[in-house]
Amino acid sequence: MFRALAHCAVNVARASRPTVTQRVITPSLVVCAQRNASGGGVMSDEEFDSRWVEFFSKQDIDDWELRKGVNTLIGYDLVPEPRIIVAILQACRRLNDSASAVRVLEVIKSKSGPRAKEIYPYVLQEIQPTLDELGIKTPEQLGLA
Amino acid sequence: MAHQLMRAVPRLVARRAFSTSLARAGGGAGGMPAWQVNPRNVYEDRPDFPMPNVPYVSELSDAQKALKAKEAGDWKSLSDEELKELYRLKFHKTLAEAEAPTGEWKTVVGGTSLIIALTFVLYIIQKKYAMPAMPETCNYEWQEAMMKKQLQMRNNPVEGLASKWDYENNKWK
Repeated sequence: MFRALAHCAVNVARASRPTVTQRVITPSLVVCAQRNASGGGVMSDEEFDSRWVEFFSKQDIDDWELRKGVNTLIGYDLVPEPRIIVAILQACRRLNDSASAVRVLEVIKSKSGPRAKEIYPYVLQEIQPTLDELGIKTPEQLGLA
Repeated sequence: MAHQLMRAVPRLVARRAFSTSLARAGGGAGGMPAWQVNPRNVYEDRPDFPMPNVPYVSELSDAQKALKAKEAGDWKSLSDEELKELYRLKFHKTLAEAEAPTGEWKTVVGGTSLIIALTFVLYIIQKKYAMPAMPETCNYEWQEAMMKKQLQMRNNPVEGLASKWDYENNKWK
């Protein structure tokens, strides 16, 4: 979850900086527990992420569920965690839908809003292994499709 | 969405027919008339609804169908152009293109200014040719005389008009 408050994740990331000459982008944002507007139970960020990953990891996910999931997820006031994005991209692969995969990447940039320059490259960096594995190109690589 | 339906209605009403043969009027999916289509199934590029319920192009040519079949295989074997074409089959504009400024404000400001300018022209024409002459009492000499009378009457001598007139020297203070 990207909630702009203090920074604590930065120190952890700096400690494990790789020795390879590769620019590592570290976010200067921290997570906080998600509060339910209806006054119900508090769901932790990890649980929220896990439930969404589980939703998209369904092996026989269908077209409608993918669309419903993505449209709902981007309705929340957050940029989805990279591992949720990975699950979405793999769901697109199962559905043979490369166009939706590119659309999802565009949506990440759109959801990042004014902080797109920090968040979008970070997310791309985190999901790069999946992009390489599945052969998905970013909108920029395609000339914004 | 709604405006597509609105456009279709007069056409259908004018032809006085509701059969499916005239269904091509505006947005009919699967040959249905526009007012029978579920509005949620009309394609629209929206940043807050990135995956519409229908693809942009639903009737594929043979070449496009072949491309779709290729999509079922390894995506690394698809060239950039093919990936772009697959994208454009499913979506009309990218989110960036959909959010891009249209410059519509120029049309609005220009159109409004034009109409206001036209109003001025019409007013001038009507003032010159249509409206009767102003009464005699509105000319400058008459107004001067009226004010002189007000001063003679000492109208508002403390805070108003007569208080601003210097009676000894017969001029304004």
